[in-house]
Amino acid sequence: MRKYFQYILTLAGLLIVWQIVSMIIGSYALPGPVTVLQKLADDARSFQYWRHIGTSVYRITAALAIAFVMAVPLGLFLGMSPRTDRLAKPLIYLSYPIPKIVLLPIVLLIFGLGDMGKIVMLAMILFFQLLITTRDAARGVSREARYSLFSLGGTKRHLFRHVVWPSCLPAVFTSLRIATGTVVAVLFFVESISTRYGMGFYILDAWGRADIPQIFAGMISLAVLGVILYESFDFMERIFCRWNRI
Amino acid sequence: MTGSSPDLIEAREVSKIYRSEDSAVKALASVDLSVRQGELIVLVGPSGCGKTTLLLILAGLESATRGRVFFSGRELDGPRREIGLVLQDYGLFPWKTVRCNIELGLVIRREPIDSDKVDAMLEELDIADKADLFPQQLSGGQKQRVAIGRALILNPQLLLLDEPFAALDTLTRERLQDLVLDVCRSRGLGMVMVSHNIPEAVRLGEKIVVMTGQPGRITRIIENPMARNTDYRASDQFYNMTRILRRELEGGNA
Repeated sequence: MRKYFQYILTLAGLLIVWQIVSMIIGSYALPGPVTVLQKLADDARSFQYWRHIGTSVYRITAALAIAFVMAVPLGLFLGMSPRTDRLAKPLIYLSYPIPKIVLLPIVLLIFGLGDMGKIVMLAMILFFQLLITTRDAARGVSREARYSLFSLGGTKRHLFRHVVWPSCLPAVFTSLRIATGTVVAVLFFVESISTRYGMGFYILDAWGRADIPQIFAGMISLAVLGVILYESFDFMERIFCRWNRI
Repeated sequence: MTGSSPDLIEAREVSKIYRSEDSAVKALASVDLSVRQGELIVLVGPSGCGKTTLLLILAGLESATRGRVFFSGRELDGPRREIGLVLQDYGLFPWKTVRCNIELGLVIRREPIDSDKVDAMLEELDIADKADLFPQQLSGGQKQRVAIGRALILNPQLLLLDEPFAALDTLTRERLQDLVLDVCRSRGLGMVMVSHNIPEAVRLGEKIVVMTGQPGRITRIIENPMARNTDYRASDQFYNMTRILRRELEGGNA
């Protein structure tokens, strides 16, 4: 309850600052919150707006799911198997710093200009964040934890189920929460290319028409989307990692 | 291979060398040790003398570079349910409640969980009211009680403890020492405990095995039959024995 109160308080503070800055620099460059929220309320009554939102949500969800399914098992495997990790390390460390977004033309060439190309681009960026966090968490399982489990008759399968997976879950949720920020930012970029739907297009289209209130309406929509994703992962962590919140 | 030893566990000529890419550390050199059913043994010695290594080899968690270990006459080739292990940092899993931590051995071995037995164990260890808490909600002493319960639920014949009370205050430590003695006596368990604490070694060890390092060897085994007596801690013999052990350890370090 306190958390939601803090959200409301922060939001109220932001709206006040926004209104003041808007009055200082002029409502054409920075329309006030009332104008923007009015525009958002008008658009929210149209099917088109929800189609933009739905398309973005679909791309984000698909990218997160693909990245999760590919990166988390691989990270756990590398963390549990030092030999394979040593072999994979040069490849990961060489490819990790490359700004994946520069691969966008190649990705679109291979996977097409439709949804698949955009989803693959988003998933590629998220993949490394999830992979490295999960691998490091799996590596961090102590020798004492292994001894404890093996002394009870556990096998590697038990080690994974009872020790590695539960101990890595908080790190996985943390990386998913961090990934929400990244995915929303990159979404704007990938949706600026060859698409007619998505919040990225919604904002760029408004820019082209110099519809400043719609730009801000799009920004607010993306921010709300980010908050919903973040809070969803936070909620899931509270359920699956109850022990970590004590 | 079957040996003829009547001992519960026996280490014969056990050596251990830890090798890395550019070095080799000899942790143990030709160690012989045997533990009979119901016998309480404490390993003492300076840090790095191989006490924990020996304990892990007896637990079947580390293999000896040379020599053999026999459990009930059969060569030990890995962890066994008859050997329980309790570690200094408790080795509890923070994502499992106290009850789930204690039941884990049964879950892993796919044995039916007898709730009454688990409840009785919680009661015996005085943590019945903590059953649904997570380890991080417990004190150090309570955590170690859970770790002891987890080892005991599988009905071991031998209990191995690696400095189990090192992080506890004196009174909690003494209460847990008494608990371990009670548990071992009532169940007839053999025990091997690693300790850095001289009074603890004298209180618990019917045999006190003194080790020296580089490489780890057993230099002397001190018989301490009075350790069975409940009022031993307050007696003159107890202080005499602590002096003997201190002198032995100081001699080893010199």
